Amino acid sequence: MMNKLTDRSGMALIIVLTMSMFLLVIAVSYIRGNAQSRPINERHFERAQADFLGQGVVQFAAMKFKKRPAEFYYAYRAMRAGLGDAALRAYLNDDTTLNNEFVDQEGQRYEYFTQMQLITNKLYETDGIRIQVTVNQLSDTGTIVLTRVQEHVIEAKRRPL
Amino acid sequence: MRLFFWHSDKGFTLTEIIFSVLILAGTMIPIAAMMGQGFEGTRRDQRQIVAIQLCQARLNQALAVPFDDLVSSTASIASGGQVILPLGDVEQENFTFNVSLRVVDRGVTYSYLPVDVNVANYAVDDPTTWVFGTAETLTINADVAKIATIVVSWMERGTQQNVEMSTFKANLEL
Repeated sequence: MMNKLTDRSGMALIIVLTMSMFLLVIAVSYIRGNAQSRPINERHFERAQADFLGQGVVQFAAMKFKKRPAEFYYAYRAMRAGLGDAALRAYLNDDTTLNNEFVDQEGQRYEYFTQMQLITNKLYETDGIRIQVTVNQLSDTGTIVLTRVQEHVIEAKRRPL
Repeated sequence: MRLFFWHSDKGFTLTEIIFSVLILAGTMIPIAAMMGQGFEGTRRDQRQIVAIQLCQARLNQALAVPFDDLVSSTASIASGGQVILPLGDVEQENFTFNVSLRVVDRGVTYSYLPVDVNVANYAVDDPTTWVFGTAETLTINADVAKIATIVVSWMERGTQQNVEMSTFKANLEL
C-alpha cells in the first residue's frame, strides 16, 4: 500500500510543470510572431515611399522631354542608327535631376535612375515615349534592399515632317 | 519528502495543490506580462499601418492638386469651394491622427548634347550628318518643381510619433 502511494507522489508537480512548459512555448511563439510584424510594416512604408519618388521623377522626365524634345529624338535616333549612345547617355544617365539620391525622414537612402524609350506604332500612326524610373532603397552599407519601378507612357498622334 | 507530498490515497493533498498553484502562478505572471506587451505592440503597429495608409492616400491626392495650389498647410486645401486635399485631424480606428503638408521648392537641371543644325551637310532625317556639340544644361530654379511631404503625427504614450512620405511635383504647365 505504501509503495503504491509512493509511486504516485509528486504527480501534480509533473502535471503543472508540463502545463507551464506548454504555455511557455505558446507565449514564446506568439511573441516571436509579433516581433516579425514590425519589419513587414517598415517595408510597406519603404515600398510606398519608393513608388511616390518614382512617380515624381517620371514628372521630371516628362518635363525634360517637354523642354528639350529634339535633343532626345536626336540622341535616340543616333543610338538606333549605330552611331553610339554618348548623346543618349548625356540626356539620360548624366542628368542629376533624373538620376540621384533621396534621403527620407528616417535617414533611409533611395537612389533613382531614369530610362526613356521611343515607342512607335505604325498601324495607328502614333509616337510615344516610355519613361521608366527605377527606385532602389539602399541599406546602410549601400546594398539594395528593395527595387520599385514606375512606368509612364506619353503617346501622341504622329505629325508629318 | 514523499510523505510530505502524499499522505493519503484520495487525490492530491492541499500542500501539493498550493505548491502547484504557486508554480503555475509563477509561470503565468511573466507570460501574461509578455502577452500584454505583445498586444500593445500589435496595437502600435496597427496605428503605424493606419498612419502609413493615410500618408499614401493624402500624397496621392496631393499629386492631383494643381502646382500653384500645392503649398505648405495644416488645414485642408480647397479649390473652387471644394476640398481637394483634406488635412488636419482625422479620426481612424478610434485614434486621432493629424495630417499636414510640407512643401519645399526645388529647381531642376537638365543635361543634354545639342545638335549643330548649321553644319553644311546637316539633314534632319540622316543621323550620320548630325554633329553633337559639347554638353549643355538647362537650369530652371523658380516655380518649376516642389518636394511635397505629407506628415501624419499622433500621440503614443505621451510621445509624438510621425510618419512622413515625400514625392516630387513638376510644373508641367511651365
